[in-house]
Amino acid sequence: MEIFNLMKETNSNEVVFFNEPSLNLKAIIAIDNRILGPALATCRIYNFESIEKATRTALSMAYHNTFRSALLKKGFGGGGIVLIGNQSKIKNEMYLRTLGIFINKLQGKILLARSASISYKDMLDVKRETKYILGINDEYIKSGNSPVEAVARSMIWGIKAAVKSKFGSESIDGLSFAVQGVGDVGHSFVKQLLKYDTKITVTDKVYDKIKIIQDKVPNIKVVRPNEIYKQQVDIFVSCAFNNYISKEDVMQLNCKILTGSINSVLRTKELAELAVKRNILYIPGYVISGGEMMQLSNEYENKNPDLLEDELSEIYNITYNLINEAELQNKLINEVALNTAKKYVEDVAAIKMLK
Amino acid sequence: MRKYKILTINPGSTSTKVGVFENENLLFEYTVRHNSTEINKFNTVWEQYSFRKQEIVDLLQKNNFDISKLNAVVGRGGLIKPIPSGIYAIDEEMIQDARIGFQGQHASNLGCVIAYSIGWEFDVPSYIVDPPAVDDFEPLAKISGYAGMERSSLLHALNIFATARKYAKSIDKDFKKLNLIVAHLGGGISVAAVKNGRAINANNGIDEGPFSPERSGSLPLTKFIDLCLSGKYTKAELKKIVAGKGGLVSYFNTNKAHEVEKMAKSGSPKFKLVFEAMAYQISQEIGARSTNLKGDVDAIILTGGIAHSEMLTGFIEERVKHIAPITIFPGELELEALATGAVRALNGDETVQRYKVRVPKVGIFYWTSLEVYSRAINTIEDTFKEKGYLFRKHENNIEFVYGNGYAKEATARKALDELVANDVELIIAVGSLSCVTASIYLKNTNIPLICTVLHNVDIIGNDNKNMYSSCYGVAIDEQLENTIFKLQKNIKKIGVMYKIDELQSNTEQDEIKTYCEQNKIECVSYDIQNHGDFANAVDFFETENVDWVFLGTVSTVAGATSKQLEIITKKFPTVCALAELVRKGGLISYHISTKEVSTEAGKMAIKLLNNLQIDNSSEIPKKKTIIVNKEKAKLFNFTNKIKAFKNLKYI
Repeated sequence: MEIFNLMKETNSNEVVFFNEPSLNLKAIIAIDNRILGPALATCRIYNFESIEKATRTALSMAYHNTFRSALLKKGFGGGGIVLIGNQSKIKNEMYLRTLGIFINKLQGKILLARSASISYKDMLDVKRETKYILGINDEYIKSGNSPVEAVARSMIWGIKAAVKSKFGSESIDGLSFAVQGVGDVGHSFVKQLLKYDTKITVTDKVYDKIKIIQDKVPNIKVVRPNEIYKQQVDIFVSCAFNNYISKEDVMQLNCKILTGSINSVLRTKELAELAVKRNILYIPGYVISGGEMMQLSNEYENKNPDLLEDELSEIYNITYNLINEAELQNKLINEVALNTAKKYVEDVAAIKMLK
Repeated sequence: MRKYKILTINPGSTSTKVGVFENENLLFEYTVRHNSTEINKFNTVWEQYSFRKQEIVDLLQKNNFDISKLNAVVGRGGLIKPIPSGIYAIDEEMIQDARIGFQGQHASNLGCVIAYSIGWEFDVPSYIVDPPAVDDFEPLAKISGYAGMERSSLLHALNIFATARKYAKSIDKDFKKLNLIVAHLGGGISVAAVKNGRAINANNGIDEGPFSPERSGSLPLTKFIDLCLSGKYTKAELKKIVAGKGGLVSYFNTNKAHEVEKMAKSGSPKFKLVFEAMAYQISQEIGARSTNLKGDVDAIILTGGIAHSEMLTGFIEERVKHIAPITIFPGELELEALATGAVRALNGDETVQRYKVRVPKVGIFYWTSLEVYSRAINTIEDTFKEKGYLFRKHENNIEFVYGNGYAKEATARKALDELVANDVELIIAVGSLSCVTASIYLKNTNIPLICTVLHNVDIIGNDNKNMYSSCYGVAIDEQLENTIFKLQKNIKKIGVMYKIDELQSNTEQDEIKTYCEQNKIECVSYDIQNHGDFANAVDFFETENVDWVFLGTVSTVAGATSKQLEIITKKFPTVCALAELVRKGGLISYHISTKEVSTEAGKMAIKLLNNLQIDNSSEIPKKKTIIVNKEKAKLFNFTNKIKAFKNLKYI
């Protein structure tokens, strides 16, 4: 594997490897760029098959975080942290504190955000060794604005924009949803959907996650993971990490809108084009799932938590404008989003030159 | 023969038995004993799910068993809906019933959800086999002796069927061709009559039958009622007396039968008396089962943990050996039974059944909220109840779904749309307008329609093979000849209330006019549009100088109150198309009761639901009655004449 080639693919600045064999801690920290501000890094703990895959994932996370920050016009650069291992086995206090020490060594170039692999309790351990963390401000959590909840709520705003564009009205009442993956974000998203008069079908590879929802909502429709694509629904939402939708899956889709919480629900341009050909409005996850970044930005800037919902509603405008722009330019939404984000980073870089 | 790896899970109250089999052969078996402090942290059995599942997964890992090599997972099913014996694929509906504890909360409810979860994650089938909720009871066995309180089938089905199969195999006979009495003797005791592979009767292992090491069995009822109402015990404590602290526990504070046996053997008279009494009651239950099989019993099988006691089985043998040969299979075969069930399923030797317990839905469609319709609907419900259908929440075996047309065609069609979307098996339309609307709407569907509380079948046509009716069917001439013409000769003019946009009342009006023409009587009609028109109607009929007024089925009249109608019913003698109108102050009606027609509709619906033949697609009950309002009879001086009428009923 040639690390520099991988970095070239995403035009990233920096990749740092940390290793602490006594704790089985293997960390890869990627920094995409810091033009907009310190690199906000989400974290993934996963037993990657190879260092190459792990590095590629860290770089991709960093790249998309820059991308998302630029779309939302926030003051964060993009970072990504990958910890290699089985998260149910390797995480303990010393492991997490050591991660804090490593992050500290980067002296604020990177900020660790609470994410799916790192719980609130884990973050408290990391916090003992570093101040460069975000997402555990009690004031925000108590006000119902945890990063995960913010993602789910921003997704609802983004989906409303897509619905407005596709069906003419932004109301999601009466619409049907298939939700693939009901872990933290998926679960939170379903909770949001339940506030509306929607028909929901869910799946997950791990039955326990489905059971948590079913125990609260016994009549929710559940299907096996391999049956989710063919569900006849209005909106298909993928919240499944490490799940790659294939060409065959896209061909099976029986929906009008495809989106999700993960950055690229469809990983290639060809798949996105196929979705468009099948008359499916495809909105990449990074467009609608920016709630987490908005929440963390507010926390970073010490803003009143009550302001968040207003900010989240901005996702509606961003999504709606991107859809319209893509239509005008006859391009894919991800192409338009990429150009918009790139231009913003360039503009910020240009004015920073003046300093 | 293909070799399958099967994981079997049998949750008990404080432990979970886990076995891994290769086909019928046990690879390893382990009883995971749950730490009572840990398990008591949970409020409900269902909440123990993650805890128990993790312990099972850990156990498999400790035994270096690769879960991904499994071919199937089988759990002991729980107290779900009553289902026939057999192998069932676990599905969401079963999980839902296990979650709510359809027939009660029990650790076995976790059996299906844990099996399902592991099967889901490793993409292998998950089953339950002969759960405690097996219900093969014959109808006679369900009658308890108190209406509305059915006996329910709850037995140690898994071990009973496994033992019966094992016995059949041992004598090289087909299990489904034998009549057996199988007594499961464990912490609880159930004695089943297994006829041709079905447990047609058994004592409910908790409520009835012999006492067991920790259950009381049947108790003297009135004494138990006194105990319940003594105020000394809570409901939970009383339940504990029945299961947990009853039986041997109540006499000797131990549920260990072998300890009681030891004391009995050592010469303690009380221990011997109670221990023998347990055998005595078991024998009694076996005797009862032999009568269920009309004495045609191939063998009696004693099984379960306390069948290890030679003293106990000896006592039983003494009393029941005259019935049939006795075989003893001590211990339990539950894990083996689960594994062999899965092997039969995987080999295709036995059909895997779907759990989905169909609760048939009946659509009830009515045009608007009239009292006569409510009474008809209540009667239909009563007819279902009389035939053993239950409407109780969570215990229902029938569901009525209602659609109200709110007196408008658009809403009526919407109501019908919703009934169809609700997957109703059939629709009963109540009242003429709803019958007409439904007959048109359902013409091109396969949903059978039963029309009732309508006067004449002609208005709905007869070109739909899926349509049935039970109507009043009393012709207008019959109505008039049996009422007004018996009371008054020389009638010159009759007034009719009708509504131009209601088909039924138009038909009535035409029929009366025709009849009057034939009999050289004048007939004038008043089109009533709303309740305020009653005063105008009276003016009209007074101006026309009518002798009688016919109050038809028109909705404005049928839906009016007594007070609103009084303005007419006091002024003119009235003949009414509905008995309902006599109750509201009309004078007389010749009629078939709404109860009769709606009962007939209910009976038709029950036949259709059970795929039984309906002899006449259009029924008209024979019993006709003259209904008279006594006060009005007096007011119009008809009391004496009316006294002479047959089939008379005063209101």
